Amino acid sequence: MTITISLNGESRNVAHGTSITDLLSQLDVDSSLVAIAINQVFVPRDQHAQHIIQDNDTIDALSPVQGG
Amino acid sequence: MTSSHPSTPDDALQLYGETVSSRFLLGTALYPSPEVMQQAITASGTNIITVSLRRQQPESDSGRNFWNLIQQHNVKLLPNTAGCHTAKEAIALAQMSRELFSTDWIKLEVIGDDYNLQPDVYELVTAATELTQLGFKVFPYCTDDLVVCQRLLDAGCEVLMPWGSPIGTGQGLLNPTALVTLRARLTDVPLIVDAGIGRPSHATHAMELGYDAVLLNTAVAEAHNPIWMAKAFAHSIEAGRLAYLAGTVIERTQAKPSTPVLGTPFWHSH
Repeated sequence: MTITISLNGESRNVAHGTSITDLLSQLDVDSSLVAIAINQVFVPRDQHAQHIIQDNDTIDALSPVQGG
Repeated sequence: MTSSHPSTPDDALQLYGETVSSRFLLGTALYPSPEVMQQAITASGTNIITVSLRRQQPESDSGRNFWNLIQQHNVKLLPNTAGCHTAKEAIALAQMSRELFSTDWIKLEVIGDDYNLQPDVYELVTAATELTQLGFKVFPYCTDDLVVCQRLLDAGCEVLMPWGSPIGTGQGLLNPTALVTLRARLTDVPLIVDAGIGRPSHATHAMELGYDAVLLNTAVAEAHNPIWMAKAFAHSIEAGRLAYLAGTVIERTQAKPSTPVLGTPFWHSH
């Protein structure tokens, strides 16, 4: 069974019960340089393993960039 | 100047209890290459650079390259909330920035109009209030409205960053009268002109008005030679600060000779 989420503005299917940690490992990114917000609410890194992604969640995975 | 006066004053700036020697805050965006950005940071002598967060892109290496570059400089990071239009967005982005950049400093931007990137001062005060309660040290990018600035101080901000003109326009100080009013009314608050500075003379102007520092990005990054321009701004900001401390003469409408009149040769009555 899968659920549908929006990840950085793009629709994506993930397995039911997927945690943020699971999602980041699937993305093959350096999780130490990614911060997460779900539905515009910050989710601290120490909650990534326990936080289960829900159907229709909108997830922002952000990384450091240049800024003014 | 007598020997009892130092050649330059002991003039460090305190921002949220931290001492910085440079009054030049520099952005890291828009440079033609990462190498030029690094050289411009060095040439500027800045102690504080601004950074941001954006959606992770696979080709961006999770920001690792940028992260490694900025780690090579002994500077403080000031993350921004650029692009946020509501207090809720800005608060979330500030929290994400604190986690990644390991600092509770935040340059708070909440935009109310996309044409001139003018701050939404209502959302700004709301966000500043909550972020201060969450332990952030807020550097609000604000307009030059005195009452808005007072509300930001009430919210817990200890530094204010009024605009000179809209972001990226390079128009300099569009309303110096308002900036003078802020300086006169908020004598003990560090005031940083943020945005709209296009030329070193604009930065000097801000510093001559008694502003404590200048934050800019585009004027350096998009100069033909960003490294020289970074150095030019460093000189201009220091010049303006020294001029402010030295005390400029009062303008007058009538000419007044600087060379002694007594003993003028060939003198005759007109």
